Amino acid sequence: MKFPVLLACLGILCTFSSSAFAQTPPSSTQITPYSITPTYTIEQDPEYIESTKVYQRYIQERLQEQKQLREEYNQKIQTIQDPQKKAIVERSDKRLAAINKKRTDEMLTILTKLEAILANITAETASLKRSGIDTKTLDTEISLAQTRVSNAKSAVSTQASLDYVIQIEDEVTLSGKIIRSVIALKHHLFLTYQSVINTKKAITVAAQSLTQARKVLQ
Amino acid sequence: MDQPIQPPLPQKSPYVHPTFLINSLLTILIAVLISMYLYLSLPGTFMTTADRHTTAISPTSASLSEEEKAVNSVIIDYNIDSDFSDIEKDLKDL
Repeated sequence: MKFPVLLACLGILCTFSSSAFAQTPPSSTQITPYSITPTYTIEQDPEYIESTKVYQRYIQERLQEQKQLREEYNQKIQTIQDPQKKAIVERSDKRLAAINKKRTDEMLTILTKLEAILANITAETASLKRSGIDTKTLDTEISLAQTRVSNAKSAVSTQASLDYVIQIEDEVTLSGKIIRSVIALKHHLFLTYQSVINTKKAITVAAQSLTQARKVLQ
Repeated sequence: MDQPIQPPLPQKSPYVHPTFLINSLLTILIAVLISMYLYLSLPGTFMTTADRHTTAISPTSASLSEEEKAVNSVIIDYNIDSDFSDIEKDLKDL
């Protein structure tokens, strides 16, 4: 009967050692809530910082030359002899602009909603702070979320101002030129969506920390 | 001289000592009981840190706050490929 008794002792030991890891609020008046803030954010990544700079430079160049490209387009569209091809190019041009507008409007709506949620989280955090809870971590998360909202809004605004002009050369290469504009728009929309997704992630983390902080208060 | 043919030895029936049997059964029973106790009373005992984190942020959890529910309700549909289907159709005619 020695072995089962030994096993039972081991079980009891495991139980107590597990309880030791369970989260218990500290007894001090300054309660530190459980935090899930990552210690390293994407904004601190040197590669991300560098690629963002390169992308912004590219967008600025694009913004500067797009007016001239649009004028060239208006002239060259008239030189297309085949009416079907001309109609397709015009249709594609309008469609590209419509997609960009639709998607950037959607992103702005999402960001407005996220901003309202973040404002609510900020207000609730202030309330917890008044109750004596240490909200330092939560404040950092809120600050990160606010920065991301701001960055995302700026990115969406820039994206909305971009014009995906089809650079017509001749009737033979029309298809390739349209594809080039399609790929550029897809890629830019993808990158802009990433900034919105990152914003949502940051607000999710802040919301979760707020929930944890409330649990500590209870 | 012919040796007499010996009859085959009778095979021993497997014998298990009752104490050994009881010890084994009790061991299994106690192990099961301890595991059940740990599983039911201490959620997270068998979880890794990553699991706990995932559970905490699970959108299906009933313990989500209003803020978490609000964030989860914001759907980001970034599948943009379907938007370009008209252009792709047109490209075939070019």
